Order: sequence, then C-alpha cells, then structure tokens
Amino acid sequence: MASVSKGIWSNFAKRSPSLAVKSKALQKALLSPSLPNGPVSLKQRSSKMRYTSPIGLDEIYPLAYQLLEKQSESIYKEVEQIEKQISESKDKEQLQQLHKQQEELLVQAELNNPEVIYNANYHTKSLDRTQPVYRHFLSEKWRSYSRMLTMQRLETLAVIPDSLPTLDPQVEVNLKFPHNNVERVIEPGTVLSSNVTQKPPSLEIVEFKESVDDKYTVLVVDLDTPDVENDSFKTTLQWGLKDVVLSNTDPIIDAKKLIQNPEWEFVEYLPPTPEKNTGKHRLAVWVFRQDDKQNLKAAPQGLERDSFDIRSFVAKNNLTPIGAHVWRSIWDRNTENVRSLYGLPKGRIFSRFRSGE
Amino acid sequence: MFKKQLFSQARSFATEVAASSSTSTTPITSVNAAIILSRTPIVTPEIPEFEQKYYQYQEELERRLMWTFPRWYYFKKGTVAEREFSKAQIYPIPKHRGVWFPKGVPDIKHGRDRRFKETIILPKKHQEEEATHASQASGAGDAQVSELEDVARPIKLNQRTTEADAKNDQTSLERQLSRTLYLLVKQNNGSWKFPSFQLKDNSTALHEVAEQGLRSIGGVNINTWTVSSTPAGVVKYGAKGEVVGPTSEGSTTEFLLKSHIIAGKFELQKNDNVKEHKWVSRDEIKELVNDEYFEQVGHLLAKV
Amino acid sequence: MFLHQQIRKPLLATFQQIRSKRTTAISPEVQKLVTQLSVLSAGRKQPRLLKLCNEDYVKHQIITKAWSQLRNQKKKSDEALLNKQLESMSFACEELKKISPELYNLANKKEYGKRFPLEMRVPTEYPPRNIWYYDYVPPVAKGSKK
Repeated sequence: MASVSKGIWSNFAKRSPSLAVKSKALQKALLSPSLPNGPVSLKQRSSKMRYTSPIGLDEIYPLAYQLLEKQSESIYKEVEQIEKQISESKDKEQLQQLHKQQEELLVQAELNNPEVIYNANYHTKSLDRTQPVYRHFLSEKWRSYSRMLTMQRLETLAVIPDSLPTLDPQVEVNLKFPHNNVERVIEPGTVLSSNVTQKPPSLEIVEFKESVDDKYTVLVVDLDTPDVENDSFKTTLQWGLKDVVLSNTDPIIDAKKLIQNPEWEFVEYLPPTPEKNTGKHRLAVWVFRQDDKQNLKAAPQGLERDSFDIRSFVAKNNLTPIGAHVWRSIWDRNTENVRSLYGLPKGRIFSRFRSGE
Repeated sequence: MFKKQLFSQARSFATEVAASSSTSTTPITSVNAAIILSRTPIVTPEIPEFEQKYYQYQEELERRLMWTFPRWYYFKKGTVAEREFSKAQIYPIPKHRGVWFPKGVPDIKHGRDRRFKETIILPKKHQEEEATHASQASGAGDAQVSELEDVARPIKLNQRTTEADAKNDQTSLERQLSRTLYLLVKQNNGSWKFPSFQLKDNSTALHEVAEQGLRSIGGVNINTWTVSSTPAGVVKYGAKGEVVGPTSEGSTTEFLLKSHIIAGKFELQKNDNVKEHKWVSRDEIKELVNDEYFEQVGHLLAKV
Repeated sequence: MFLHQQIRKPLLATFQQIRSKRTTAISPEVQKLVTQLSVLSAGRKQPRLLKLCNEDYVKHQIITKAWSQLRNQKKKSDEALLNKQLESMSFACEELKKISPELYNLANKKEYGKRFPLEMRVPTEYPPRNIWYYDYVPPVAKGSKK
C-alpha cells in the first residue's frame, strides 16, 4: 500500500532520522491509510486477529496527514529564512532571540507528525533529546506531574525556605541509588533506609532547553543535624560536585563518570547516618547551572562539612538553583554498620532529657 | 417618554452638527451610487472532501458507541409490525460451545453484537411499495400536476445542478445554486463592474438612486431588499476613469450599497450605458473585473 | 450471584421475568412503566468500550488535530473578513460625510418599520421545484393611481 506521506515528513535529508519510528513495520502501519499488516503494537496473536479499526479512519487519515504535512513544510521554509538571518547576524542578543524563534518553529513543524507523536507517547525512554520537539513533549509531561510533585514535597517538608529561599524549576532531577541493583527512580520525599543510601546516588539532570557541555554544581545537604551547643539544628554538606559537564545526550552523573573525573567531587560523599532519636532527616539535593559554561569562581577547597552555610555558598558563587530533589533518612539497625564502613565514630543516642540537666 | 424626547433631541442635534460641520467642495454629479445586487444561495454550500470524510468518520464512531435500539419499546410484542421488523433484521451469529471465532467471541445483547455498530433494516414491504410507486412514476414521464396532489407519492429529490449550469448561462438566476451570485454589467468601455448611477442632487438618498437606477436597467418587475441605506464601501476613480487608492483624491467617488434580489424577472432594458449583464459568483467576478477594482470590492463579497 | 443481581437491578430483573413468559403476575400499567424505564437505562444496551491500538490512536489524534487546525484557520479568515467589512463601511461613511453632509444624514436616517423580507428562503439541501419566482409584479403604491 502506498505511503500517505509525500512531502517533508518522509524526507530525511535535512531532518534527523530520530524523528522517524525505528521499527519498519510500525512505520508502515503509521504511514498507510489502514493497517496493512494488522495492529503491530498489539503483541498477542489472538488480539491482533480480533482487532478492527474504526470505519472511515482509512479514508480521512491520508487527507489529515497531508494537510498537516503541508503546514509543516511552510514552517520549515520559515526556519530556513531564520537560519539565513542567523548566519548573517552578529549581534549576540539578536542571535539569542533568533535561536529561540528557530527552536519554537522546529517544535511547531514536528508537533503533529504521527511518527513523532508515536515516539513521544510510547517510546519515552529512548527519545532523542537533541530534537526540540521531543524536549517539548518531555517538558509537557514533566510539567503535568513531576514538577508539581517536587515543588509540593519541597514546600511541605520546608526544604524551601530552610535551605534556599525559593526555586523556579527548569530541569527535572531524577535520583537513583545503586543499592542491590534496584534501578528505581526515587520519588521526592521518600524515607530511605541507610542500606539504600550508603553509596553515592546517580543523578539524571534532564534539560528542556538545548544544552551542550553545560557545567553544573550539585549539593546534597542534611538539614537536620542536631546542634546541641546552640540548642538548634545545623546543616551538613553530605556531597558536593562542581563543574560537572553534561549535555542533552549525556545527562547522567554516575559512579563511572565520577571515577573518570575525580576533580568534580569537591566534597566526597558521606552517607546520611542519623543518630538515634533525632527523627527523620531531610536530605536536599540542589542543582545549579554555572553561567556561560565557566568553572566555579570561588572554588571551595577543603570545605567544612559541618555547619555548612548553603546560602552564603550560593551567594558567593553567584549560583541560581534550577532543580532540586529531597529524600529522608532515619536511624535504623543498619546505621551503625554504615558508620563503621566510612570510619565514623559511633552515633550518639538522644533521649527526651538532656544528660546535663 | 421624557427619555425618548431627550434621545430624539440628541439625535437631531447630532445630525445638525454633521450637516453644518463641513461644506462640500466636490460637485454632487461626481458622486455615484453603485449597487451590489446579490442572489443568495438557494441550496446549502458544497462540503469539501475533507469535511465530508471527517463527518463520515465521526458518524461511524457515534454509531459504534450508540446504545442498542430498544425495539420492544417501539414494537409491541406479538404484533404484526414486530414480526415484520424482526424478520427484516440480520442477526449476528451467536456464540456456541466448541466453535472457534477467530474475530473474537460475539457479545450479543438484545440481538446486537456489542462490539460493533448496530444496523437497523426497515421491513422490506415499505421499500417494495416505494419501488413500485417509483416505477409507475417514471413510466408516466414527468411529474404531473395531478400526481403532485397525491400525498403518498414517493419522495423524488431535485437536482442540485440545473440546465443553466449545463449551458453555463451566466445571465440566468438559476445557475450555481449553492453560491451567492452578483449582478455585473458591462460598461461602454468594455469593462465589467457593479451597476452604478450618477447622483443628480442632494435631495435623494444614495440607496434610492441605486434602486431607481437598477429598475431603469432591469425593469420594474423585480423585488429587491436593500440591506442598509448606509454605504458598505467606496471606490474612487481618477480623471481617466481608472481606479485609484482609497486615500488618494479621486475625481469620481462611487459608494457601494448592498442589496438582495428576492423575486422577479431581471430583463435588460434598452439603455445607453449598459448592453450586457451577468449573474456571477465571487470567483468569476475576480476573473472578469480588473484587479484594482477587485481589490477595493473583493472583501464585500461572500465566499460561498 | 442471582440474588445479588436481583438486589442490584430489581426493576430489570422483573422486566426480564416478564419477557421470559414465566410469570404473568404484573399489571399492564407496571409493565408499561418498566418498558419505558428500560429505554432510558443503559443496562444491556451499552456497547463495548472502544479500544484503539496505539497506531490507530495516534491516527485519531492526527485527524482531530487536522480538523481543529482547519476550523481555526476558517475562524480567523472569517473574522479578518468581517473586520475589513466594518472598516470599509466606516471609511465609506466618513467619505460621504466629507462630500455631502446632506446625503450622509439621509443615509443614516432611521428606517422605521423596515423588516427582513419574508419571501427570502433559507438554503436547503435540494432546490425547490420552481427555483425562481419570475412572475413578480410590484404592488401599486398606496398614494399613486395607475
């Protein structure tokens, strides 16, 4: 059966091949008026045989496809004009605006492409994040749930304003612990056992703008370390990373990369080991993007882990938070093992009454 | 009452101001009143292919999601009507033990497979009757007056295209029933435009001049309805009769008024200025008139 | 199980009993009511859920998008046309005012008793037998004698 596509959407001379569906059978199904080989996405043979497409779909679909494809063609022509302007222009501000326009148009040009929609809906994990349209789909999905959830957890657990005054999230931060080979993304606010958190987590920082070799700073702070002298709490820096280079194609910070780039880690990972009867400790992960891909100015050397003042650190280095995450830890039976593993002294046991009184 | 008086006073005051505000420098004989006389569509517009297929698709979806027809409500059990109705239906094959259904086990409730749309078939008897009627009618030739009085005659749909369409008779009002047709007349210089008439003095309103002028070229036996006495547009002409832009100063100014023809025979009268007329749609007007003229009047014409 | 159904849908259960010829212990009035209610209720009349496979779901989305885009374009062009007509009207009125205030006043005079003509037809799917009424003769004006 002939393909419904006659224009730009079947032309991959200028467009990225990641804008097509990888499987040939699926592509054929999406580019034919009806389903020539039956429903490919259904796995069971019986359900494949049982399936019938709605009547009339095969007649209207080619027309709808061609209508949207024609619109996309005209948008691509606009993009060409903008590209010409970009090659001629030298003003930095104008260039920035042109690039922004170009990206918006590229999203519009591919937003109604069935292959792109199919990938965005059903192949979420293998999306090519260098393509503006896929970043758009990812961003929409993130905004619809995860972003709101993260902000809600940060605010109800008072990470905002206990650590930093506020946050306008621009990136999605996914946190995983290499515990027991369980690859599960941690939902913000979860209480984790000391066994899970004993090795440094791997972080995925999903950018929704174009990003090539941007540098990031990551801080993990414990907000609930008891401060007996002042009858209060203090902040401990558990982990500090700086000048971490990430791109759209490579957004993950894991153990392997940290071994390759030891200079990233300016404060080594110390697992959260809450002392007994100090309640649940909030561990906030803050992610900052460094301006203009430059190294951190006031690069901290031998930073004091205890009584860490995150606000002054952020102010000194002129950082703006772009993403955050939070988990909680509590004393459990494994905490002492973790302490001995990292050569820490035995934890204190707090009681309702002070021993001095 | 008082309010009404006040209002009328305010109104007369406003008109007075308008009357005394400026003194005209243009002679009134350089003003023309033109009439855009339209025949509104007689049949509904043609539906584009995309819309047609979209409606078809939506209808199929709707039918698929419809509830089953409650036949027991419309046909009382045990009646002849019920028997005829259920005899006419084609029932789906019910599921049976030991039978393999490759397309899935039917899920039948009230004689309908709930996985698909329901098709209701009217009993054949009425159809047969209609068919015999139709054959009789066609045998007798065209519809006779006596036959038209027969209330039980079968429904026969008229054609959406007419003889005038086939002949492309552009002077006929029966052409292109689904489009709005406009009256165009041929000037002495050979160009086509809307009929326009010179004003003689200030005392007759624009729409009256236009209506009288229209009857002078098309005869008095027409029924027209002028939409408004205020002009809908203006076209300015230069000294040589060429169309100039709206902002420039023209030597002749033509005000356009909209009007509909409702009934009557438009017969071209013997006239010095007009020798030919046409009833044409917007697309045809675009080809007939010159581009500058169409630019000034195109937005006043309906797209259907 | 049967008991449970009876409790959930007592009305339908009685209705089913009647239809199965087993009992006749129901009055015609109640029977009528039951039939009428059965028309309004979804029970046993609802079709199965429409489940589309992924490809068809995407195709359906594309169709809906194309449709809404087309509607949008039509709406925008219609609005632009109306705006243009309004501008042209007001411009024409201003011109008329400049050229001749008397004519402007005449054009803006309120037309009392002006009504939309009843003879005008609404477009129908198929034309009438007589497409156009040719035998129109204008009524003789009240004052004049002919």
